[in-house]
Amino acid sequence: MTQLSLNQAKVTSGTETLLGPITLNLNFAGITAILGPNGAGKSLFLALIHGTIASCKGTVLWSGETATTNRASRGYMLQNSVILRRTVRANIDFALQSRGFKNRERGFKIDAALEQAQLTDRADAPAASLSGGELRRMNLARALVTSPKVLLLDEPFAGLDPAASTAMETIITEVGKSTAIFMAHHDLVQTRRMSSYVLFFTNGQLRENAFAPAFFSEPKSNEAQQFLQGQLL
Amino acid sequence: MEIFKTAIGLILSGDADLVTIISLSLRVSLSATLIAALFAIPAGATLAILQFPGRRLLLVISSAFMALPPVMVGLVVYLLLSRSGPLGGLGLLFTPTAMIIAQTILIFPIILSLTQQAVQPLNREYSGLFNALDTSRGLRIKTIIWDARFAVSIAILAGFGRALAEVGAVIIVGGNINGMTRVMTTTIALETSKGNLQLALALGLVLLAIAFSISLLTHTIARLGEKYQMVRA
Amino acid sequence: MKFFSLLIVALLSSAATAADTTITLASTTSTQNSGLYDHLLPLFKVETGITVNVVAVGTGQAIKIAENGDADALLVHHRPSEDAFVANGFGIERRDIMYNDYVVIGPKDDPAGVAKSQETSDALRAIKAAQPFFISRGDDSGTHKKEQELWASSTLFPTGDWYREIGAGMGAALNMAAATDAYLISDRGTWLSFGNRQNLTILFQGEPLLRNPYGLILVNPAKHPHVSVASARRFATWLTSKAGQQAIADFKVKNKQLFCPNAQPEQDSKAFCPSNSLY
Repeated sequence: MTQLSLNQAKVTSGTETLLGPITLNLNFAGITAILGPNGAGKSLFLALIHGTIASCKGTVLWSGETATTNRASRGYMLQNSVILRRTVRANIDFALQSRGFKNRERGFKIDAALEQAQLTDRADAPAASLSGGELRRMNLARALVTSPKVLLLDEPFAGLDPAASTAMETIITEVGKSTAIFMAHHDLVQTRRMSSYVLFFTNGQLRENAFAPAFFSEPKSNEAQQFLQGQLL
Repeated sequence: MEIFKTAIGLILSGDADLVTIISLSLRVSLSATLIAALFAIPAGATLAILQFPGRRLLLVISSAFMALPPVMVGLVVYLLLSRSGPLGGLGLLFTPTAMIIAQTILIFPIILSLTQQAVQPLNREYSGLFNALDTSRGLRIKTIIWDARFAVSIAILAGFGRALAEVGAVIIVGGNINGMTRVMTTTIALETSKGNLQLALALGLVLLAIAFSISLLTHTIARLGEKYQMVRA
Repeated sequence: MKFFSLLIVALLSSAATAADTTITLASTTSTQNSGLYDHLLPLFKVETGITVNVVAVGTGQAIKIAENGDADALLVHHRPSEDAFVANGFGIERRDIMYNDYVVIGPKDDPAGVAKSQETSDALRAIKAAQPFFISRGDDSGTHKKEQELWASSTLFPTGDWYREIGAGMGAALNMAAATDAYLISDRGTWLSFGNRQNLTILFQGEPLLRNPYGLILVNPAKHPHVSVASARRFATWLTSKAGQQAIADFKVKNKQLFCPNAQPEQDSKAFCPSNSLY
């Protein structure tokens, strides 16, 4: 079980509040979906709980530790793939180097991550030559390779064709069995299939948080109801 | 046409004096390039990454110094190394060492500025990943320098070209001493002053041929890394 | 990092030479360009094992280098400057070494009619009257100062677009004169070995006023204790000895003797320098 608590956490820019304030206490395992329309603050929330936002107020604690101090225990997959000008293997290795892993350990960790992401046969190709779907999986592998306790995924399915999407779903579901995952996503059907918990945002506010079956069958807030019916918010 | 024949004749003759002059030119300029690059490349990358008050001013100054007049650098170094100057006790004036020092100072801003410009876009592109992984500053610098290696090697080549081609600095601090501090450019100046224009031009062609070879070498090496560069937008 | 430090040290190390087997001589480009040093210095090295490194620059710069203590000896050709150098405590033991002369150079067709002059002042007056292009060194060198003294001694003060002060060396001045069919005053040594004459030729020469004496001065060790004064003195001694003076007389360019050694007045220097062998 992973424990996350936020207390009046918010992200500001000058006098404007972009996200929050959010107060939340979660004990969870498995996959937690972060839902909401575009601009709701999903990416911002992920950055907030990962501890990469400088201008945040309030507290964000993972099992009692401040988010900014224990980034090493989390893997983060960005919405836009970052491609280092090197091979796929070297790209994944970079995460291990950043975290200070020693030379000896790195080899088989990378192989394991490559296998999880179904990229073993592309390991030594230049990352620049990968297709869109393969790049996404490389980014996922890079987030996984450090064996994080928590994985944060920002729109991992965006722009993927059906085959790539299926592959991604399989991988994430498999990883979700042993790692707690926060996943920002658009597709309601896929989300309903994959997740056990839902956090729903609109306009920078957390409107609802509930177990997935409850959220999808009986949403409490108006915004959630409209959202699930496919209405613009 | 005559000068081409003279130039080729010079190269093929293996004239001992010419060999000495060419070796000294290469030794001085390559040494200066190596030393300048050693410090200017990390400095340029650091300047690209670090935010600090006065950074913009430093960038303006460093670009301005790319146009340092060689004769002025020579004069300043002469005043420093002269027996009547602060570093006179080192006895370095009129030696190849003094020439290396002067050329290192001359090309340092070139390599610094061009490296900074080469790595800055890469730093911007990678910053999301760096933040997510909490990459150390040292590793960030190493990463952007390596990934921008093609542009960085062009920066080094620019520095080398400037050093090899200049005469103002080496003639003042070296003294153009026969057999000791005479290089290609000072020889060309000398032969011109003696009215031996054909010989001077031929020597100029030899110098150009050397510069061309080194440029070809650099570009060939850089092309080996091309497959890692971005293919898609 | 340690590797890089060692690499830098290795790159910066020049070949080590024992201090006193090498001396630095500050001299002028005209002396260097004549080729005299290429002839003389190997002979001196064979005799004594001492290498003389010549830094050849303009007269003013040579004197400055010697004043700063960056050379062990000074060999230039402007007596007033040399005397001042010694008087101000920068040099000791000035010796006469040799002399050559200056010549008036101009285009073959000689529009100013210099060639028919009897004396230098006639030549200069003719030039000032006709106002053809005239190239002046303009760099405070020995040659430049001599040129100015020559104009002044004829109470002529040249100004105008035709009188071009270029602030550069003898070679550059000759190149410019060749390219613009101009007149100028040059030392014979540079002229004889100059390779870009085009239309230029000697139009006037031979007057005692045009004599160009050279002096060798040791840099004063009281001012600059580090100088290799013993080795420099050996050079001066050799240069003024019979052997050195003969070596100077033996130096020929295109079969013409270039310099007249005059260190030993009591000797029959006519033997060294028959009066028509210079002209």
